[in-house]
Amino acid sequence: MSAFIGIDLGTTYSAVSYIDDTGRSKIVHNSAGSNITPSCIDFASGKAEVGEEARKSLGLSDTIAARFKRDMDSTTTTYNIEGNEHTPTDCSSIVLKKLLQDAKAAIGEIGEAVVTIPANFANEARIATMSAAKQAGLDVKYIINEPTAAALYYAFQSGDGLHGHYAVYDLGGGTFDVTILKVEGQDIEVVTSGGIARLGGDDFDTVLQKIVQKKYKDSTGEGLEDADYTKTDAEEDKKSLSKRDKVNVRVMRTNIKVTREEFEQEISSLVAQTEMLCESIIDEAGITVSDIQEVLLAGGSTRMPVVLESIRRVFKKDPVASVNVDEVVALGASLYAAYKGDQSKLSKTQQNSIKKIKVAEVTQQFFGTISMKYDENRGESREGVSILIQKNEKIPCSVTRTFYTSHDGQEAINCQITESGSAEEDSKFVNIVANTELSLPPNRPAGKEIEVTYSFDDSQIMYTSFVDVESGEKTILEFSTTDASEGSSNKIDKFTVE
Amino acid sequence: MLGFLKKAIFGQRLEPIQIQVQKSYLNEDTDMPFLEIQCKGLFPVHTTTKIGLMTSVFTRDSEGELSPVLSFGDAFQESETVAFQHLAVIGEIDAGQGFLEWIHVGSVPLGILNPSFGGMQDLIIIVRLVDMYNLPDISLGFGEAGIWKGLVNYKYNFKLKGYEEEAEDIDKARALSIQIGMAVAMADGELDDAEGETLKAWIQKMIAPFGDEKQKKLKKVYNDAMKSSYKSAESGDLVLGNICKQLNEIGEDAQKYEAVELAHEVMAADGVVHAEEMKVIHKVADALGIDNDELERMRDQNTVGLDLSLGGSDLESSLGIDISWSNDKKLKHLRQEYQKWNNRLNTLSEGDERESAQQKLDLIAKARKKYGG
Repeated sequence: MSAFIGIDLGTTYSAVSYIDDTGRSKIVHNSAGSNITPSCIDFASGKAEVGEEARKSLGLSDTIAARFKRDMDSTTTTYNIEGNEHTPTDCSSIVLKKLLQDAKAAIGEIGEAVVTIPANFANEARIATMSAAKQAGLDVKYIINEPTAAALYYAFQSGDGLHGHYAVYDLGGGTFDVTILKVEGQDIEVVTSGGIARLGGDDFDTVLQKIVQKKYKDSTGEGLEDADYTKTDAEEDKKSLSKRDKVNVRVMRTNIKVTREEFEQEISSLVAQTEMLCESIIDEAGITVSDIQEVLLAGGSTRMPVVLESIRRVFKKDPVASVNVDEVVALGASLYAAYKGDQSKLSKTQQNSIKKIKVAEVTQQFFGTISMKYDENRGESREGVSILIQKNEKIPCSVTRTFYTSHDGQEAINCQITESGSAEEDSKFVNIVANTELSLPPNRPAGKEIEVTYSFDDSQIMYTSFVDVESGEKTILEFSTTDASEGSSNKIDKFTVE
Repeated sequence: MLGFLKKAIFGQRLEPIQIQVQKSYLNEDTDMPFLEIQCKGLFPVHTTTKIGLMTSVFTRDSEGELSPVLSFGDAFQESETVAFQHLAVIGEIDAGQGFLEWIHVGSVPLGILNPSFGGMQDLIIIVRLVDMYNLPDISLGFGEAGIWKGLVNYKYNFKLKGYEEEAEDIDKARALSIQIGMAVAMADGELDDAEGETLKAWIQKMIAPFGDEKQKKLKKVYNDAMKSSYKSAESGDLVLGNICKQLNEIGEDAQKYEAVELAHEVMAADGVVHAEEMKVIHKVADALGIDNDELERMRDQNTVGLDLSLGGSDLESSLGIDISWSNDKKLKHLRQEYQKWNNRLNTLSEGDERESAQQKLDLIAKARKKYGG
């Protein structure tokens, strides 16, 4: 029987889990016997070696690719390594291939897989992740937000122990997410999520690297190259600073002392950003901190004392880390794979184990279209965004709104589907996730009704239709923000004019 | 309207056609005055004709020339312009027919009239008797006479400004906007080339829709405003308070927003946001009563992609914080700004725009630390 697996494709480390015979989620050990695999690739000599050896060479060799998850929303970024161009999607695919290979070696045949993504990943990054999974040869039907996966595992582990509102605080190597959920046993309803795409352990490592470089210069008068004190060195020293008050760094025959206090002072702006996001998300959820039963932790950076202190300050309670924070996202992902996948492929025991799981999602973004709007202050019509589906709408949902043609003889409408994290009115601050044209009959006066409908079904597939009421002409678009079945390349092909 | 003909006495000798106006109200309880156009006498037609009465309204300008009166109501406008026009269909009549008594044949709702100048005006009401199957070509009230044309006067005191006055005020308001733009440009003590070019481009854009003569006139007004405000700013005599006061007196909301938008464009011209420039803009926006959300929108639109590092010297101005706010309000504002820009990061173009947004997030975090969140 092929296994259901969940993959946490992390910025710095990745992990894989599977559903074992008892129906529980277990971590897959990699070929080196470790629970987590560094998301680093060494392209030396035309090969692509993923793992710890590549991580150790980070900053020392030009052949290393790392932290590419942060560029997954970029359509232009490439890494030139030894004369070859690699996109972030290519690199993610290489890591996924390695994870798949190790998983096959450890547990045998692989069936359906779920890959996790940060809660605030843009549409491009979601699609790029799916594309990487396909390139790696994975049968990925769904993706799941990392905090939701973590919450699922916490809920699963506690049996029927969780009731009420919970916050998942997920600070990993490259991204920060916070999600508020309503949990009743293993029934999970996402209330709202937010994230910072570029804030994680890697940024803390950079800060520590700079502290050491500055101290070295102050002490010797000479500059210190990145290769003399690498990110990997900084990462190890950062971990030490989580356990003790100071570290002594030996670099270029010079001893440099860095105290935890100094380090925490330097990263306080980054921590302040996580606090602002948490407060905003609590506001967005329409609750207060006293409504939150527990703060559930995920991600290795939550081990830092300054982070734990910040969580206590914001949430007014001690956080919970009853599971391994490096593994919890992957562990939740395989549960989700089994829950959403073809359950006839599970044994009775496995089916029984996951039967109480229920996950209800909400829309992650605001979805709208571009239209002309009358600006009373300026006394003129201007182009602006009209939002049809709000963020945090419970899925499934559907909204229909009527718009009107703006001028006589209008023969077409540009149908643009916008996506944004805030309720933006300015088209400058939205992503156009799809774009097509609706042809209209000629020689008509302005003011003809155009009925626009946006809806999400249970599978989180979004449907939009633009209908000219008088003629019945319409254009329909179907696409998904989480379903792997459609990639970006054929997204536009799904436009049909009836 | 055909009903009026029943009041005509056929076969009797009729006086020549004439018109008069009478002030009336829509109903006794409302204060909505209108002029009732009345007509009597013989219609000067020789064959059976379907006729109508078309009303246009004028005032006279300072040189005695007719100025069309415009209409705010769609139902009382010429088909191709916004000039007032009311067309009442009388119906089909034969030669020798007419009205023996004064009959109500048209209406001029005074509340929707928009003359060239406000105050007491002598309205010149022109009524054309027209063939409904061969309507005269009329534009802005001027054109062919139709079958017959009559004229009647009526004095009326307009409380609002006329459109010519408004246009003059817009010209003056724009000259004041230029002075505000100069104040922003000179906030750091000197006029950067890019800032000067921005003001120049704005003037060119503003005069572009007009004909040569008006362009020439406006160029002078705007160039003078630019030169004089530069001199005043150089010597430290540019008093923003006075400029804003004048703009408040003559400008409509649209001009005030235009001024603040220009101020933002000037600020953005050199690619760097200086705290001094932001301070000037806040002062102006405050004096002009610009809505905070609108100000934020303009600031966001114009600072995207700019280098904000110099703004760090004055966090409050750079981030739209009013220092008189309570600490809680400042922290709430910072949270909202953080959430907004964090959400925008992945919608912005890679490069300058994203870097600038990241700078803004860093500034917000710095301010958060300052206010002890």
